[in-house]
Amino acid sequence: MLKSFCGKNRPALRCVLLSGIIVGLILTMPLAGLLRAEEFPSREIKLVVPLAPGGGVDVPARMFADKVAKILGVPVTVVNNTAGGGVAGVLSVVQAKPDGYTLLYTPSGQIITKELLNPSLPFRHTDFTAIAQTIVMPVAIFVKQDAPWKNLKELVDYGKKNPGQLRVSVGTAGGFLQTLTDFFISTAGIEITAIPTKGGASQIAALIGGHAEICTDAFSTAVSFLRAGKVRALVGTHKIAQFPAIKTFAEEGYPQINLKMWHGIFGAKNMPKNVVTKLTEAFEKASSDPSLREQLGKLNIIPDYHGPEETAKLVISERDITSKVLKQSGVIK
Amino acid sequence: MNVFDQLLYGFSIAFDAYNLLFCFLGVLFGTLTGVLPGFGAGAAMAILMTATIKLPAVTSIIMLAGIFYGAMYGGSTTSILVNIPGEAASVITCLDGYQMAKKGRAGAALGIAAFGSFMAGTFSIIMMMLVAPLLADVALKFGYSEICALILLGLVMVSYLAQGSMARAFMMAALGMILGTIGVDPIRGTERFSYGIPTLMGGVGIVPVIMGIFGIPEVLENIERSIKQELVEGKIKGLLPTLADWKESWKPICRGSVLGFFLGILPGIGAMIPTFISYALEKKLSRHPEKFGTGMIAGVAGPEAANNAGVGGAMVPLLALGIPTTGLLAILLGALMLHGVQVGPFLIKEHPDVFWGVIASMYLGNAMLLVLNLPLIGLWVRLLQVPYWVLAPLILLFCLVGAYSLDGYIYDALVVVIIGVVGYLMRKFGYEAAPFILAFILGPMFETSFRQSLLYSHGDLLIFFKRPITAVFTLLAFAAIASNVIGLGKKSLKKELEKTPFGQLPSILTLLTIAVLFFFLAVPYPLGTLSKPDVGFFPVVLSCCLGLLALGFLVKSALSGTPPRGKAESPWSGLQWQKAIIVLVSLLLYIALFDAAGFLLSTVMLMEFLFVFGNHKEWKLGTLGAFLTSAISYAIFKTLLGIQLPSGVLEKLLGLS
Repeated sequence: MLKSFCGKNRPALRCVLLSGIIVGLILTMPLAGLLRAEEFPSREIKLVVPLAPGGGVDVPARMFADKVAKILGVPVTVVNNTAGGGVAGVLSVVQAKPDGYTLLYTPSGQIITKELLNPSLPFRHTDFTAIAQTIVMPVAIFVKQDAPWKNLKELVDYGKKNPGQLRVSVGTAGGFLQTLTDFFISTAGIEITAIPTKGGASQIAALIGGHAEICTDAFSTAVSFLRAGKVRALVGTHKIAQFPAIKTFAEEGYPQINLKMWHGIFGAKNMPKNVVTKLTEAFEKASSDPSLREQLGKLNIIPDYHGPEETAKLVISERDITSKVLKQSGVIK
Repeated sequence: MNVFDQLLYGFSIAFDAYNLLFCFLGVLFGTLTGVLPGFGAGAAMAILMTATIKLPAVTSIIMLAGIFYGAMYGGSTTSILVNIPGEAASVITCLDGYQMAKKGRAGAALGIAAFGSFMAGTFSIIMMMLVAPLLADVALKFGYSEICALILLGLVMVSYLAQGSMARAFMMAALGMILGTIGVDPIRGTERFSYGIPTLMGGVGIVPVIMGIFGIPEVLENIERSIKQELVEGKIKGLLPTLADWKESWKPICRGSVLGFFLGILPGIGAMIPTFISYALEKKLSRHPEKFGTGMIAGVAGPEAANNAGVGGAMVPLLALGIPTTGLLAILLGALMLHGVQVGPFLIKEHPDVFWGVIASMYLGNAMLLVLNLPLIGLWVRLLQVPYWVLAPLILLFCLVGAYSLDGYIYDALVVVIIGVVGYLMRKFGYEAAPFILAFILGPMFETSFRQSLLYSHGDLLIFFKRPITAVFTLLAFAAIASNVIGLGKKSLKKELEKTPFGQLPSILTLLTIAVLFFFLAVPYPLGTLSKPDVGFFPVVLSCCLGLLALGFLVKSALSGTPPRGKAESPWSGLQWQKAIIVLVSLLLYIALFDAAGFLLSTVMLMEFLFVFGNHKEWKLGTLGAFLTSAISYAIFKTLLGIQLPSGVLEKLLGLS
């Protein structure tokens, strides 16, 4: 329609008028929103997940979205945006209005590690308002069932006597599993070759197939193999109810290994206090909901709610540790 | 319980009315997503996954597996009809399938694809049933070096796909691999060549590149030729494969099935690699290898069988061990976990209803797909008779929005347009797209597995000969390279003298410049050594390869004294290339306005422009078409598929936001 008006044979004036009207319409629309005084939340909240649907981040995100929607009384829609390895998704929240209607559900790595690995990233860890930590995923170091080391100490001793021999399969390059592994290796003072994989079940598959002697993996991914007796866990980041025999890093003498694999909710910088409070209350309530806890438990995910101040502090402290670890392993300068 | 009892048990589950219904819905939805370029099985599965929470575990897995299957069937449809692969696994089908369609043989191509897929699917399910646990263990033994050598073999096959000059094919492969290095270093995790551009930070997307290389140039070239009539010249010759077709196809189908199934089991291989190993194999075994690429039905039958057999193969590690070997299967795994089914080595024991129910439903799904697709062939073929001025804008729209729908990021559509221009130029200057796209996809996989192998072997390069399976593949690959080099000497001299493609000198110089530029961009990254490659190693090696090949060409043409232009005339003579440029500009404007003006407004404007541009006389029809297309695509994308579309002026006016 427009182009027939603005084609070669039509008067220029009509074309200009029409374009002007359209531009005017486009510009006035946003103002309409301001005219309505709103109590938060009064419409749909977008929860951006910068990772693939159906994955280990998306699934708990959807569970939380479901619960929080019921608590707040507005729809909470999960939007997956994995462009640029998740960068575009995170960026979309950073650039959104800090009104609480665009939130980010993300694993800590997107906020902490990505920035360290990619100095040209278009956002910084300071560009967010931390709202809450939702869950933590226990991670463990696994070996094959028939491996000669009965506990962590034996493994470390072997590692010291045979530097550079052992190979550990970790998740994706630059991911939490690799960072935790590097952290442990440097703290324990041993030399192990870390082999990054595609993530998902690849690292535990590599262990079982004999392509690595050790594997660092999230408990939820490896638990079926643990149950089947194909692998053993030497140490974990958290105590796990169904497997109380697995010691934690602290119990094995490494209390300083306190990095955790956690997910959090973030919003753009400078969100108003009342909005943050409303959201944190909702997420806290969701975390203590028994049916949600049960669902998460089935996936071996531990609900671990922490409020905005603690979450913000966690980002800083983990960033310090991660930065040190990455420098030590030579990944960054 | 022996296998057949268990299978009967599975069938009893699958034939439950509820499960049947959802199986059907799954394959239907899967076909639809396979047909839509860009929007793939993954997105479909994700959307439906949350909806299936309310359903029992078996039912939802049946439905999701159906989507997986259906997408494989649907993907070949667009490959054959409009040269746009609906899925990465359907790329090879474009090569001969589309040529067949152009000759009026779309029905035969679609038919053989459907039948071949059915036979391959059935084969793979039977195999899965009988040998799943055994094979799964073997699959696990495939380590980094085995995968690396296999991919090397696949890369070498690239040269077999080349119709024309092999050296040019290698240059395109080098270029494709260079493009593949952009994004994230697979071993360090640090960024590589992304320069602060978010779209590049995850790597250049495979789907946008596929659509850009295959879809856009085809449309642009047709626009230049001012095609006002249909895509297919001449009569449509029959809707089903003839007896002669079957004679040529049944062996490729068998070979493709076997290849697809056994390779599909291996982690990280996916359904794509078997397709072009199948294509290369068929080309090698055929009595008329030079006809491949012009519409040989064996080139459709084999790869199609391979990709469907690959689905069954890929299910083996998932169901027998709980290890998903591709991203799509990981979604399936997630769905199972969501239902509280602990997927792992005990799945068969603890949830036999899931295992056998899924297997039985896969049989059914396959059968349903065949029954569904055959009558549709008539419909699809009719589609080719739609006037091109209507078809072309639709293709362009679906390419752009399809790319957008991957992540809700319009700049993915920009990648489509940019790569589209590259692909267009490639065609004009006589370079082939197939080696480019295959190397683009395989390159990163090769680099990752190569570096993993060296980490595993502590830097020992001989690992590629020490491990038995690896050694076999490596030697095969070298043998293939050797036979190529020998053939290169004999064949290409004759070919080169026949017809020097247009613009040899400028295009070679451009490639040389790209190689040099890339070399200097790569050097600042840590390089490492051959036994300990680091971030910059592969880019440097690749740019050297490309540069050396280009230099070699220059030297050869300087020595032989043939004028670079040769006897070929300009590929733009007699064509209205200005039209192509105008269309490109309109696409770029669309992308620029997309987020601001909203989906409906931008789409209406683009469609209106394109329809009227293609056909001034029927502008009233074109206008109507613009509104209809926008409304229908809105309905499909937003309402049916649940993709988030930017809300703009028209959406607010209509109260849709």
